[in-house]
Amino acid sequence: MNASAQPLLRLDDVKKVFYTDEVETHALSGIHLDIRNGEYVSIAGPSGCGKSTLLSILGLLDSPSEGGYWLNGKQVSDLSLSERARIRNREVGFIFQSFNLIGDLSVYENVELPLTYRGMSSADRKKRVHDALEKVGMAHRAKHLPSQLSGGQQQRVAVARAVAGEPSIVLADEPTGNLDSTNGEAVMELMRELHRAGATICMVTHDPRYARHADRIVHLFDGRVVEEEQGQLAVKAEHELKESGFEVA
Amino acid sequence: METLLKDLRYAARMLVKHRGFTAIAVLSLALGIGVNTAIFSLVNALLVRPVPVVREQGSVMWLRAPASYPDYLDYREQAQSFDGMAAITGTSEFSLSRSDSEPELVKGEFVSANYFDVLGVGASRGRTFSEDEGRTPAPVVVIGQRLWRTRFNSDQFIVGRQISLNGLGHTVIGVAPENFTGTEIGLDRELWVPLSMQPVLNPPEATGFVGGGEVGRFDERNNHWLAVFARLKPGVAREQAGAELSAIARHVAEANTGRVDAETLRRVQLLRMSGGMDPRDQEEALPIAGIVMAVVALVLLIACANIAGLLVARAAVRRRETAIRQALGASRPRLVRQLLTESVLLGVLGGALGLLLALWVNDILVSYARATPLAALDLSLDYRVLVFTLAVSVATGFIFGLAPALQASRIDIVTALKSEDALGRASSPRSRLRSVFVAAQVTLSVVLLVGAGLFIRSLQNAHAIDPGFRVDNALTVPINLGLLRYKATDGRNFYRELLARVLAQPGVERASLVRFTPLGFSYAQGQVVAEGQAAQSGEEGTSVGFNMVGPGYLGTMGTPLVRGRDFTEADREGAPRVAVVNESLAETLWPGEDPLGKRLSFDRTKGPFLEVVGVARDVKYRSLGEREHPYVYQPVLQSYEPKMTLVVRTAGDPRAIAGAVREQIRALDPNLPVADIRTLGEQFDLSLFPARVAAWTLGGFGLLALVLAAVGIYGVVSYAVAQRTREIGVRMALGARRGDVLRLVMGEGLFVVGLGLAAGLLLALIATRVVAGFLYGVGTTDPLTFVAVPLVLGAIALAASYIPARRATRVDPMVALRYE
Ligand SMILES: Nc1ncnc2c1ncn2[C@@H]1O[C@H](COP(=O)(O)OP(=O)(O)O)[C@@H](O)[C@H]1O
Ligand SMILES: [Mg+2]
Repeated sequence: MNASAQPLLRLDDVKKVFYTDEVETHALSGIHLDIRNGEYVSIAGPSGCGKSTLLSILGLLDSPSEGGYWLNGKQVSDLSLSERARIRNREVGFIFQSFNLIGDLSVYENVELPLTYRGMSSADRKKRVHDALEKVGMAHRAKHLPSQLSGGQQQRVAVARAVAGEPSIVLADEPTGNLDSTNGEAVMELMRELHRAGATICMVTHDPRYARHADRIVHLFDGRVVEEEQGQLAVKAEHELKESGFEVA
Repeated sequence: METLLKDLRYAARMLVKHRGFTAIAVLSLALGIGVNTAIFSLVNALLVRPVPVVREQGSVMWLRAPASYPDYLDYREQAQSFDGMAAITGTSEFSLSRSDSEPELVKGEFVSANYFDVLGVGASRGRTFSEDEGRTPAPVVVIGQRLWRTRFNSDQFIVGRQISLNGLGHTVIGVAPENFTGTEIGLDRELWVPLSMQPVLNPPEATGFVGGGEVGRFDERNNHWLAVFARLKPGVAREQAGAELSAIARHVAEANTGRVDAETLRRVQLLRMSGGMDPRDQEEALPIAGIVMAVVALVLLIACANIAGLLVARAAVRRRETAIRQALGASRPRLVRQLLTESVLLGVLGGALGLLLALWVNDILVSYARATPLAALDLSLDYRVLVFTLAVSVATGFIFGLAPALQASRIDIVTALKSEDALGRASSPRSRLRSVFVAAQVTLSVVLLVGAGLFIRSLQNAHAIDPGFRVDNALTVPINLGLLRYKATDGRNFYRELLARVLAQPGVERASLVRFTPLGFSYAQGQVVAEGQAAQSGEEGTSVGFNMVGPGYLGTMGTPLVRGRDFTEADREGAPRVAVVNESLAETLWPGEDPLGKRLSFDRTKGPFLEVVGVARDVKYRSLGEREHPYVYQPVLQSYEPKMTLVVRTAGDPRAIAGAVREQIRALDPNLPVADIRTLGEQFDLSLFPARVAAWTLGGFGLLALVLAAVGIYGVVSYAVAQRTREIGVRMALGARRGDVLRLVMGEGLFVVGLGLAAGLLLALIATRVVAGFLYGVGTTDPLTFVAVPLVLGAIALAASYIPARRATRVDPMVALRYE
C-alpha cells in the first residue's frame, strides 16, 4: 500500500471557474490531491460541490483554470487537444453514471472502441476485449446490443470498456447512480475486484456504503476538500472488531 | 370540422415556432412548385386552354385523319352527327399592300365559308363569310382586330374597303372579334380568306413541285392538305360520331379506289379542340411537353425529399411529445392527421409563393416569345393554373409529409418515455428513411446535371462540328413569288435577273438560290430509284432528302465538290435533267462505282431520270447532330419553286449589303414583300436554340437540385451531429481524435451521397437516351460528363457535410459526464 514516493497523479492548488452569463461559478477552489498507484479513492459530497468537475479534470476532459496537474510525473495541465486525446485513451478509463454505451455497436465493439482509437492490431484487440469481458462476466453477451441488456449488465460492459485498455487509472462518476441496489452492489463488487487485481481507481459516489469500499474517502464541499478519511481501513477494522466479538455501532 | 380547425391552429403554431425550418421548407417548395406552375402555364396555353372566343368549345372537335378536299366534302355531306364541319389550310403568307406603303407580309389562312359559323364566332364589325363565297371564288376578307387597329388605324369605315392581297383587290367584309386569332393560338393570324380563293391566290401553275405541283388540289383525293374540325350535335357522343366518320371513310375509300388500304382504314378519331393547337402539332408537342414536365416534377420531388428529410429530423426532436400524446390516448390516425395538416399547410404556403414566382417567370417567357413564331403567346393566369397549383401544393404536402408522419407516429412509447436510452440511433428506421431521401435527392440531381452536362458539351461541340458549308459572311433572303402568282417561266426569269443584279453589287462574291436552307426549319424527303436498280431497292426506293437550288449553289455555300461539277446557268428548262448527289447517296446507290453519268428518278421507274453530274461533300441539313444520309440537289431552273431563299456570299459584313439586295428586289417587283433577312450565322445559331434552351433549363434545374441536395446533406449531417452529441462526447472521452470524429460523422453522409451518386449515374445512363437525338457530337455516355458531374457533386457533398461535421469536433467531451 505504501507505494513509490512519487504519486501516480498530483493536483496542486487546482481551481476551476465557469463563466456563464457573467456569473462566475467557482466549481473547484484550490484542490490538493495525490493519488498513489494502486490506490482506491472515493470522492464524496453533496450535489453541486464539484465532484464531476474534479473528475473531468483528472480525466483530461477539461483543464483547470489555475493550478498544476501531474500524471505519472508529467505536467498535463496544458497539452494540445490531440495529446490530451492520446492520454485519455491510454492512461484513463472512464465509467459513467449513465453507462454511455453506443447503441449501434455490439457489446464487443463497445469494449473494443478505445482500442481502435489506439491503432492496435485486431488480434491484440480481440484478446484484450475478451479478457475484459471475462473479467466482468459478460463474455457470453459479446454479440448483444446494449439495448438488449439490463442496466446492471450495461454498466458491467462499461467497466470492461474502461479497463480493456489497461489504463493507469479508472475514473468512475457515480457508477451506481442509475442502478437498483442489487445491481449497484454487483458493480461495486466488480470495482473491488479490479482494485484487488491492482487497478488504481478514483470513484465519485455519495452513497456512504460504497464510499467505504475505498482506501480513502475525500469529502468535497463547495469546491474544497473538507475531510479525508481512511474508508477501506475503517471497514476492515470494523470487520476485524466484529470477528473478535465486539459490538459495532 | 372542429378538430380540423384545431389541427390547423396547432399546425400554424408549430410552423411559427419552428421559423427556420418553415422558411427553408417554404422557400424550396416555392422554387419547386413555381417552376411546375410556370411550365404548366405554358402547357396550358398551348395544349389545354380553350381557344379564345369560340362558343361551347367542348363540342368542337378536330378530325384526326388525313383529309383531301373531296374527303372533306364527303364527311361534311354524309355525316349526321355534326352541326357543321369546316376545313382550313393552316398558316399561309399573304402580301398585303396599300397604295401608300411597301408591301407587307401578313399571316392568315384559307378557310371554308362556314368557318366562323362552326366556331360560333361572329364578326365584331361587318359580317363573316356567306355560303356563296364558299362555292365560287369571291375576293373577300375578314381581318383580325390587331390588323385593323395597327395597319388600318381602327378605321370606322373599314367594312367595304378594298385592300390588295397578293396584288389582287379584296373587299373587307368584316373584323373578327377581340382576342380571336384563329383555332391555333399564339400563331398570330391576322386575316381569313375563303378557301374558294385558294386556287386564285395560289394557282396551280404558280406552285412548285414541293407545293404539290400542277395537281388540282380540289379534286385530288391523295392530296391531304386540309385540317378539318366540326361541331357535334347536342347529345351525340364523341365515339359515336367518330364511328360514323370511320364508316364513311371506309365507304369512300372503297367507292373511289376499289380497295381499302391501311391508310384509309385508319379510324377517324375526334380530338377536342383544347389548347388551340393543330392536332398534327399536338402530336409533336406532347412528348416534348411530357419531358419538360417530367424534369420540373423531378425538381419538385427533390424539394419534397428535402423537406421530408427535415421533417423526419424534427419528428425525432418531437418524439417525446408524440409519445406523451400517444400515452394520453391519441390514436395513430389522429397523430398522422395532425402531422399531415402541418405539411399540407406548408405545401400551400409554398404554393402561394411559388405562384408569384411563376408569374414572374411567365413574364420573362412571354417577353422572349415575342421574337418567335409564338409571338401572341398569352400566359396570363386562369382558373386551370390556379387549380393546378393548389392541387400540386396539397399533393406535395402529402408526398413529403406522409412517410415522416407515419414514421413519427410509429414509436415505441416505452422506449421514448424511458429517460435512459442507449446512445446514437444511426441505424434506426428514422435516420434510415432520412438517408433514403437524401440519396434520392442526389440521384435526381445527378440525372439533371448529367443531362445539362451533355447539352453543354454538345453546344461546345456544335462549334467544332463542320456543317459542310461556310457559316460566316453570307446573307439569306427569303422570297415568295407564289404570293404574286408568278408562273414558272416568269419565276425562273425573275430568279435569273435577280442573281445577275445581286452579283453585280460591290462586295458580293457569289450568289445563288435554295429551297431549303440547311439547318433552317424545313426539310423535304422523297424516294429515289437508280436506273436499272429498281428491283434491288424495293418498291419504295431509297429514302433521300432533296433540295432545289440555283446555279453555283454549292460554290456559294462553300460545300466542297468531290467529283464532277456544280450547277450552271446552262442547267435550265429544256436542257438534259441533271442532279448532284452527296457522298452518302453515291455510296448507297453505286458503291465502288463512278456515280458520274449514272441516272436516278424520283418517280419510281417512271422517270424522268436525272443524270448525276456532281458529287458533293455531305452537309448537316436538319441538325448538327444528324448522321450522314443520302441527299439530292436539283437545279431549280429545270423545274420551278415559287418559294426560294437567296443566298449571298459577301467579302465583308453580310449585313452591310442587305439594303442593296432589298433595293434590287424592289426594282424587279415593287409588290414583293421581303421579310426575315438573316445572316447564315444567325440561322446557324437559331438552329442551336433548342439545345441552348435545353442546356440552360436543365442546367438551371440541375443547379437548383444541387443546391437542394446540398441543403439536404447539410441537414442530414447536422442532424446526426445534434443527435449524437453525447455519443461523440463519449467517444472523445474514450480518446477519439478530431480525425476520428470527422470520419465518423462525415462517413455516414458521404456513404449516402455515394449511394445516390451510383443510382443517379445508372438512371442517367437510361434517361439520357431520350435526348440522344438532340445532342451534337457527344454520346449519351460522354465520359467527361459522367466523370465531371460526380466529381462536382462529390466536392459539394463533401463541403456540405464538412461544415456541420466540424461542429462535431468541437463537442465538449464533458457531455459524457452529464446525466440528463
Ligand atoms: N460547464 C459548466 N458551466 C457552468 N457551470 C458548471 C459547468 N459544469 C459544472 N458547473 C457548476 O459547477 C458546480 C459543480 O458542478 P459538478 O462538478 O457537476 O457537481 P457535482 O458533480 O458534484 O454534482 C455546480 O455549481 C455546477 O452548476
Ligand atoms: Mg456530478
